Amino acid sequence: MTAAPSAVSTESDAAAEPPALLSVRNLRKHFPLRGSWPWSKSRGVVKAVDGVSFDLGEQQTLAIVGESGCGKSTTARLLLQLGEPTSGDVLFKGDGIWQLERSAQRTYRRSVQAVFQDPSSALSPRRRVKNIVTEPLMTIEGLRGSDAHARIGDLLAPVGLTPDVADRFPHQLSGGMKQRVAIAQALATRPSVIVLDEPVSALDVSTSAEILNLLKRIQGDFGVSYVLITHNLATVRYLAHQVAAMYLGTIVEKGSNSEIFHNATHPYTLALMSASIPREEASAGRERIILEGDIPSPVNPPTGCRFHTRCWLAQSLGNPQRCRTEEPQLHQISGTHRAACHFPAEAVASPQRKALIDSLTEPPAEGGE
Amino acid sequence: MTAQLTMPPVDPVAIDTPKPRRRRFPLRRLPWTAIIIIVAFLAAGLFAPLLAPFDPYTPSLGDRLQPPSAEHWLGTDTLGRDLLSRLIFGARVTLVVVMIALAVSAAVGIAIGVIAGFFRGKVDTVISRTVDAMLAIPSIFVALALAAARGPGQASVVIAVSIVLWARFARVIRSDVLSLTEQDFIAQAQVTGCSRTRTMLIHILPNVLNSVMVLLSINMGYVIMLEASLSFLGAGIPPPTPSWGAMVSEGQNYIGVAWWVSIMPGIAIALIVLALNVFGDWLRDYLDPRTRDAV
Amino acid sequence: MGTFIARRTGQGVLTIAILAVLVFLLSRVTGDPLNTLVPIEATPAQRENIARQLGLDKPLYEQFFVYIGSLLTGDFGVSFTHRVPVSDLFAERIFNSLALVVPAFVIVVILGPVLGVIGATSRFTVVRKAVLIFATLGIALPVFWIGLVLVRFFAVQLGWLPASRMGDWTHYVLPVASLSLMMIAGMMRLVRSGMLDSLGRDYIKLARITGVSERSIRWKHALRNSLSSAVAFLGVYMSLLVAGTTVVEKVFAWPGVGLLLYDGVVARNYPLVQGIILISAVMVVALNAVFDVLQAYLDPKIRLGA
Repeated sequence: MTAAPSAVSTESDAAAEPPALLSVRNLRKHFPLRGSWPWSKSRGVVKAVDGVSFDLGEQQTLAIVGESGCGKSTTARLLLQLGEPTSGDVLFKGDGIWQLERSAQRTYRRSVQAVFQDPSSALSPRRRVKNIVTEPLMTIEGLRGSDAHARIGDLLAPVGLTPDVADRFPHQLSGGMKQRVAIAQALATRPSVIVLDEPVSALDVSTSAEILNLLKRIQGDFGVSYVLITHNLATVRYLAHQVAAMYLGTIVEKGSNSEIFHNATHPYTLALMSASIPREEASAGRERIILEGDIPSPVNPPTGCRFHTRCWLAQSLGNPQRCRTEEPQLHQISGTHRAACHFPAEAVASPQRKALIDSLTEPPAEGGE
Repeated sequence: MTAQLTMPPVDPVAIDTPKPRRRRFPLRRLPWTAIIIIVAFLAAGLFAPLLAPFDPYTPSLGDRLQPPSAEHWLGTDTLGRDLLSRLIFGARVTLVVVMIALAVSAAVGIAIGVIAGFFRGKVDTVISRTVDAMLAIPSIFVALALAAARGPGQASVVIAVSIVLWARFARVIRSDVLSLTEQDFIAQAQVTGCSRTRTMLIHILPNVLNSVMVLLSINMGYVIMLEASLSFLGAGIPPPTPSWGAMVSEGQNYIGVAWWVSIMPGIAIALIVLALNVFGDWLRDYLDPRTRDAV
Repeated sequence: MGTFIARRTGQGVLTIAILAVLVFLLSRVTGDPLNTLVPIEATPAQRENIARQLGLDKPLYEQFFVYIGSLLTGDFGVSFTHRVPVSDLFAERIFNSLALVVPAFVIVVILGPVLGVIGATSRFTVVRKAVLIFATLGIALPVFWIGLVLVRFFAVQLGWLPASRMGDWTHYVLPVASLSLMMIAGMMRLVRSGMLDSLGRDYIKLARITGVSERSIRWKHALRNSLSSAVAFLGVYMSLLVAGTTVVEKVFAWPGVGLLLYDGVVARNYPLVQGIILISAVMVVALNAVFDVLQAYLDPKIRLGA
């Protein structure tokens, strides 16, 4: 890969996994489909999250990637306690978060904060920046207004904003500045974990680069861990230590940054990576992996492997019965790398993957950078 | 693929703050006539004792039914009282009744609307059905029933109007809140540790103010008309307190010989209702981000 | 369609139910309930008697059940002054009121859209402005005032038409006119703005290009789309129509239900007022429901929506 100023180490592949700060165990969230009256019959269940497990260590970034509707946002919301799981648990430093009593609840709130996707709708439109940013101090830490406002300088400085922004309203700020405000608010209680739901998707390219750099720096300065929800693999490559790919509510592949980007195995992950190759490179003769067919509905996931209806590998292997009947579990490929596929060896050996890896390891065509 | 991200780390120091863009208030496009009328109405209500040339209550039987003249600009009524003065004091009476009724209905309606929109589910269903049902009841019925039960009077009018009007506020506010709660900042508030009460008060309420202002101006005209109709029917504000609707009623039998007794109050009613409608429409367009530029 | 009708009917029933409860509470909760159930001139002994008869010593919810029971069996109370069941009085007078309402309604339904279209599309600016002014004034001028103005002008000054009471056809003109004026203005306004809106749309331009006549465009294509909101308006307008009829009957001393209601209110004749209100409400709500169903039948969006 070309030199990127990322500090993602490859040591973590071989070393023991760091102690888990957040531990997700078999998380499931099913939404019942009902008619308009609250007491009409159930018409099925949307299995938005259907058995997700992962660990997050200190000062680590875990990226969850996938298409829209794969359940990554729902997972993020569950981590933030915006809703209750149908089954499964989330452990924070060993304690299940839905079983905490009040004071411990507050600690959790203090420790886990969020930055949402669209800063235009994520900041309260009629409140000034100073009130937005200090709000967590007032609600979670119980500070009084004047005490909280006194700390405004400390809250704005780490995100690169000067104190004169404090009296502005969100609509008076640019997109990048709004997102900095959102980050400042998330950082106010000095949390251990920040959930980032598509933090730069609503920003233009140069602004998003600034914000990503900012996030990276904050991780270093404040020792915070990130759960990064995104569909943009370039962002993942830059920020993440661990990566998990989700499809229809389950994780189909997970591993460290280098394990995934150097050695992706699951056909879905490969398709995702293929899709993020810039168009210019793709048209220059390198083929993309195109997925055929519509995304199955999360109410009725396919039998067996959820991906088999669109899986290019399955098609090239002649639709093996195993894919249609047996749901693959995550099994180890190497180190911390796990994938849920019945035919990982075939995936690795396939010509499509070879072409993809080749295109990713070649230097960019002329005109890049 | 990673090449795109190898920009040198930007030192995240302050970027230039954009100057706050102050919208120039479109003074030219204001509905001036309507505003003047409304201000006149408010002035009459607030400063009635100072503005009225005569005492509106004291009868002067020698001057009954005088046509408009230099002394009595609008003439006198059936008891010889100066019509202009009675109109001015009538504005005060109407103003008081209308303000209180609106305040009560708005408070109740907003609270219920916020609750319905915020909590959704069964609570919302029950509230919505009730609101729809109340909106289908002809308002005048409730007012007349109340007047028949406890007699006419300012309190009866205020209570009756409040019972009838809150549903209008509730419906609009509820729909506002429904769309507000879909925005991320509400989820963010919860993550930031806001209790539900705090979220409703601090995050939701300020954002419905626009709708509230529009509702107030539009419904003010409706309430004035309702009060006038009630007073006309004798179910509103009883004599001798001047009320425009009642004044029209007083002059009914003299419509042939002294038309001004009935006609003048009617014109006053029409003027203020019209002005309020026009202003309310303008306000709605001004506050709606989509039509804002057209205003 | 069936579910819509069911839902709409349920809504109507709920409305009546709430009104019934409201009316019940108003009579029991404001001051001494006996005042609303017993004429003022009754002796204390008579009051006690009636109180026991009506079960006023029983708890509130029992009284409520009795009340609901009597409503459901069609007993709407007995008027103090007339000593006759309210439902009888209502039946006597309803046709007089309808004699005003129905013609007014017909006029509005026909003239309203016509004037609205003219107001939107006439070649003459004068005409368009006039229609606009007429519509704006019509909704701001109080009904009773309009009535009196008409009386002053046509009855007193010109002596063409009588000022009150029922009689031959001449007696109908002014009351019906007063009532219609109120509604026409609202209808005109809606149709006019609906027309202005439709006329700017692409499908109209397309129609013009494909050679459809201007007249057809006006009266068929653009109008069709404004009619939907006009029909909705009619439903909503029922409430105002009720108020208007009451007022017009008072102005013209017209012996209909509205005048009966007025007399009842003035005389503090609560059973009469209560009865009229409830019966009228049932009619109004039922009509509203019919309108909605009709609208849903014509416009699938409504049927399938909320």
